[in-house]
Amino acid sequence: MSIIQVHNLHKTFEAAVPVKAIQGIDLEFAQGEFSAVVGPSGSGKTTFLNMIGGLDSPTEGDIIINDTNIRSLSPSEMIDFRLHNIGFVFQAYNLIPVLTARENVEFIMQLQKRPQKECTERAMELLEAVGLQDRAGTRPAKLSGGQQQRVAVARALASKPQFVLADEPTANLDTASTENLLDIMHNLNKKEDVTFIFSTHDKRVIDKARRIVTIEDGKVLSDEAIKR
Amino acid sequence: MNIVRISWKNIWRNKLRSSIVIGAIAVGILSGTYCVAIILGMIQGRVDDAIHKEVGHIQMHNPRFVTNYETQYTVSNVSDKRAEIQQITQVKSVAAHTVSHIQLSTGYTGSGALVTGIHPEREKEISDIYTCLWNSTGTYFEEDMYMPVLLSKEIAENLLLDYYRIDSSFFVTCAHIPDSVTGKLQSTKIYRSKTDFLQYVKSTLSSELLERYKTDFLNAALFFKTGKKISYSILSKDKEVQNGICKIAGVYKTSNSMFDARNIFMLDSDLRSLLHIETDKTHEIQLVLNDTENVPNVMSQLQSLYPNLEIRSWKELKPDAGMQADLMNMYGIIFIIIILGALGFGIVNTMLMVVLERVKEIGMLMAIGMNKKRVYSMIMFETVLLCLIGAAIGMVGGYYLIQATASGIDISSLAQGLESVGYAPVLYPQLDVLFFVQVSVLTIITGILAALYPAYKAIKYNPADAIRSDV
Repeated sequence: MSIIQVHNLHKTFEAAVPVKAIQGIDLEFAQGEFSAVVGPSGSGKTTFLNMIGGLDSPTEGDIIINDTNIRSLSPSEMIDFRLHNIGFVFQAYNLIPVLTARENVEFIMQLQKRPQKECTERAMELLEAVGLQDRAGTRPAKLSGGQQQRVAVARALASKPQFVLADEPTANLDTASTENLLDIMHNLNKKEDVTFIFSTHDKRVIDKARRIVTIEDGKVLSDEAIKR
Repeated sequence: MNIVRISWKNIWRNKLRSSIVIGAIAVGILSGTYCVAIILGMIQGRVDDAIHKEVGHIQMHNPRFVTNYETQYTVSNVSDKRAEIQQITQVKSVAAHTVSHIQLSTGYTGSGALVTGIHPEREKEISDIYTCLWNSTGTYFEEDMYMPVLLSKEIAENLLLDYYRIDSSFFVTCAHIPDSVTGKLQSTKIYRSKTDFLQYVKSTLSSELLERYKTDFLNAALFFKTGKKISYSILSKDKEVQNGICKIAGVYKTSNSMFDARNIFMLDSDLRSLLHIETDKTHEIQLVLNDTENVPNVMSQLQSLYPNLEIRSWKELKPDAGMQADLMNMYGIIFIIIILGALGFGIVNTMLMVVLERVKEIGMLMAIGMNKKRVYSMIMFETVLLCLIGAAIGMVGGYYLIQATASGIDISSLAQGLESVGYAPVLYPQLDVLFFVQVSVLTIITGILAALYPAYKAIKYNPADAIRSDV
């Protein structure tokens, strides 16, 4: 069953010479997918992810997430929609530096106004899943890059989203950390049945993906399912 | 993690910068609070002096007497009126005065004054003048003498009644001057004038030392002779000129040289006989109340009791002090608003830096689902908390500074200037709790206003662009 449907998506950035970043993409993503959107720099991967994450609006076309056309949402409705439906993992981790690992994970659930007890239990459960239960009380500055990204994954899953968008999540990580992070995300994908969509050109991520969508010049070049 | 807690944690991200801002606010509030406390202390001192040494809370007169102090215009049935007024619960004490212009003269010069006839013991209940004897000169009508009069130092000097001598009290008063200087002054003579005394000092000390210590020497050597006779001339209610001799009972000095330059006191019985005023008549009824706040209430009661009398409050009798009392709180608030306004611009600048340094983080927060209202509140709470911490430190510091100097700040070097406008040369800083509450509210308002632009800037970020930024 498709949870994300993208129809005839276009995005043009206004400039002296308008830049056509996305030029007519039609795609669907099903529940539980572990997909990679790949392509060279400037191909439109991040723009595509930003649009299905509701961070950027398309110039043309529709994005339907669980029967909701997100183009019809007001900015404040969009923020609320993201809070309850979409998890984000960023290239630069983007944790809140003044909060501990546990507080960072709890924070998104507190925004959802869930009871504090439930927030703490779920945060500890997710930190355990990413192997950081011992570092729950540590602030991001005292964690390695790999550890920070694992906290970011835990945070992305904390809100129980429909899908997680990860923009170049391994770009700043060494091989061991990348392998570790991918294993964790793979296990969570299976355990929590959460859809993961990566934008990446990291071969290590591509090798783990079960579907690879290749974008070039804002168009889908290929879309293949991989059996692993 | 509620927004206030995260804002609190954000403040301590950059401890140095936050400490500098908090320090600036604290110093601003502390100095503002203390300056206001000094100003209010000065004004309150002036108001207290006006009420307790000069005019009381309320005075009642014959309306025609007020115009030109003509002694035939009296208030009658004084005993009944005093008894009636004493029935008003807010009234602490009542005294009746005979009042007239008088001309005093010595062999050298003359001076006009306003003489008030008093019952010394009764007067102590409504006026603190009895505590103002200058250098313990004489008594407050306690010595038995013919026609005693209490002069002010100012009037005594105008009448050239001042004498100068070097005695043991001179050396006590001049204790702060080196012995090598005062040790040379050994005259036992009494000098009849300031000029004679200074000539002696000049012959003993160098001109430089004389110039340096001239005021100290004059103050220390000055004295007045009690019992000395001065002549008076006064017009009775029948327009007959009464001439005679009175004697100096004592010399007083208040902190208001304008009052001192005009007022002297006699026994009511003496003045009454000079003016030919009947026993149950008087010129002035003066009231002191339990609380200044009760003045309007008592005024209205008196006006309904005595519609034919001129009834005036201390604010009407001393409009300068009344105006200052009315504006007292406003002075403080305006002063603090100016300080907070100036600090506000610095806070806006700091918070703008804070927002500009956290573009990526703010973008991330909005991306993961923190709505604009919460982002706005976070920046606002951060600013308000920053302001409140600074203000709290400043107010606590101000409070302790006020307590430390509550016994008074002596600025006697400026006494002449201050006394000429009615202020005491010792300042007693004071503030009430309400002022601290007002400063707290103003600080919160400053924080909210200072956060408006930075918070607005924060919510205007596009999350996708903000996440891609370098900061």
